Amino acid sequence: MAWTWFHRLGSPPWIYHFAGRVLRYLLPLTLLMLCVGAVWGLAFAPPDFRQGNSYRIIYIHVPVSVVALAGYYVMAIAGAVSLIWRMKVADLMMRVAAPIGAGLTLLALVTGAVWGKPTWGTWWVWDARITSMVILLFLYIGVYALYEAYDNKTLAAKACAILSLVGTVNIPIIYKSVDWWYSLHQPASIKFTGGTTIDPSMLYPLLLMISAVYALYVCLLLLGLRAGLIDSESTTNWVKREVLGEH
Amino acid sequence: MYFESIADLLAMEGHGVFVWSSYAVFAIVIGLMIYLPIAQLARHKVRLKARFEALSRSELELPHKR
Amino acid sequence: MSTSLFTKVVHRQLLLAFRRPAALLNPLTFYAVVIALMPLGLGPERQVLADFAPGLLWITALLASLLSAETLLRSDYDDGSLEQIVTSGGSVYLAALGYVISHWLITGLPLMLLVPLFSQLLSMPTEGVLALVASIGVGTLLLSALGTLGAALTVALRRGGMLISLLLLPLEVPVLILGAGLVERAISGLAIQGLLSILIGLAVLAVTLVPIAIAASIRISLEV
Repeated sequence: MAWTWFHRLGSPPWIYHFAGRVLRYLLPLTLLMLCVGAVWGLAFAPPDFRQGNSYRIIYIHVPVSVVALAGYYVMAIAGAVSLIWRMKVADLMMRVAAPIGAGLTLLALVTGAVWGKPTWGTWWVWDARITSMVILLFLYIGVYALYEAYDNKTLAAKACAILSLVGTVNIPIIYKSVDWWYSLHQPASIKFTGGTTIDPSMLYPLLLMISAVYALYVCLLLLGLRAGLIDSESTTNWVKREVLGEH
Repeated sequence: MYFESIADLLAMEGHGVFVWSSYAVFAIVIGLMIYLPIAQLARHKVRLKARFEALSRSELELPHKR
Repeated sequence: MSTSLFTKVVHRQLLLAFRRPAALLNPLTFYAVVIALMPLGLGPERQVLADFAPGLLWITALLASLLSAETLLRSDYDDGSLEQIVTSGGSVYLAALGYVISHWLITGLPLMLLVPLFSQLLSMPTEGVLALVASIGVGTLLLSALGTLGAALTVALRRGGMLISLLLLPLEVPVLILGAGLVERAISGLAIQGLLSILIGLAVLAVTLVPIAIAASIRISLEV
């Protein structure tokens, strides 16, 4: 009985309509959370003792970084599902997850760089987090480039699934080794809160923004999925009914 | 609110440029990432609607998948 | 089958390399040329070169490995040998392992033996030479595994060229960090057993597990 639910997930029309129903509530909610979190972080959280007001970038930089990393796992799991159960929907989800993840990673890098200027005095610093983000960006771009290089998209999805899975195993190794590399070459690191726990008045807006960006990720995934399904299933009857307005 | 006035909020003791440009980039990129698939879906629907109507006019049968 | 696909592939690759020494000499020559370019780009001052030597030697090893990965499977794909291997009914995993090991024997092992010479071109302190040999020997095993995977994923593509570098370099970052870090630690006089064990562990992991992915990728490429 659990399997019928799982196999229903693999049915394009079911996923299409389910995604539509979810988005109707999730998208407005996400936008609301993003606005509230941003305003809270910008105006209502106290300034940091060391960094003053520039630390407020944390409210976008950290959520985006966290979700960018998690997104790689989403992509890899979708790839694994597509390899094991041969689900077209999983194929599509993996393909959609790649540019979303890359966009978020790029955003993390840009906000990190802009944050670096007032904090460390330069636009770019090869610290552990930023370096790992750069590598993550290249991992995403690699998956996308591999997908585009194959003409046969079914084979493309399989190849990308393999690449993502290898990347998944590699990511903890990459992060650990970059961390170690950074501690090797860095005389003294500037930590945001200097070893003490983060104050609740700063933590809560951060948690809100993290949840908001996670919700955003789900929205973007579902939006991309819907667009992709209509396109790839364009010769089927359910698409015909959907497009011609019969419900 | 931790700022005395809107002017203070914008300036953020000199760091305003950095903070506001980050948030602006965030808003623009996120907005784009939301807008693009929605527009793509709409484009697909328009294109397919035209195709289905043309096909039904010429009375061709589509392969039954579902 | 009296001998497994592993032995057959290794035997074949070594025989081919023996008959066509370019397979062995090209990566080494590339390595030598790039190392020779370093002083030309950085200036001949010994201290500068010595400071950067571990990193430079390691980055060049990465680039050389990428270059040899590109053509690793191409000739076998083009003449149908790859297809023969898959349809023969033998274990494609063992064949993939054979490709990895033979690639290491042809590119990694010679490099490991010659790298002390290259290190002296960059005036690297001799305390680091043993660590360099060990790290290059083990690290190139990792690079061979990943390189063969990249080759398998892109062998059927027409415009594979730069793609393989893009795919492999992010995955090879830990090898670079650990390898160069190992050598620098040795030069500073610190113990390297811990790092070396980690590198060896990663290499063993890669050599045993990556051929699974390589075998799957070969099957995909053959369907293109």
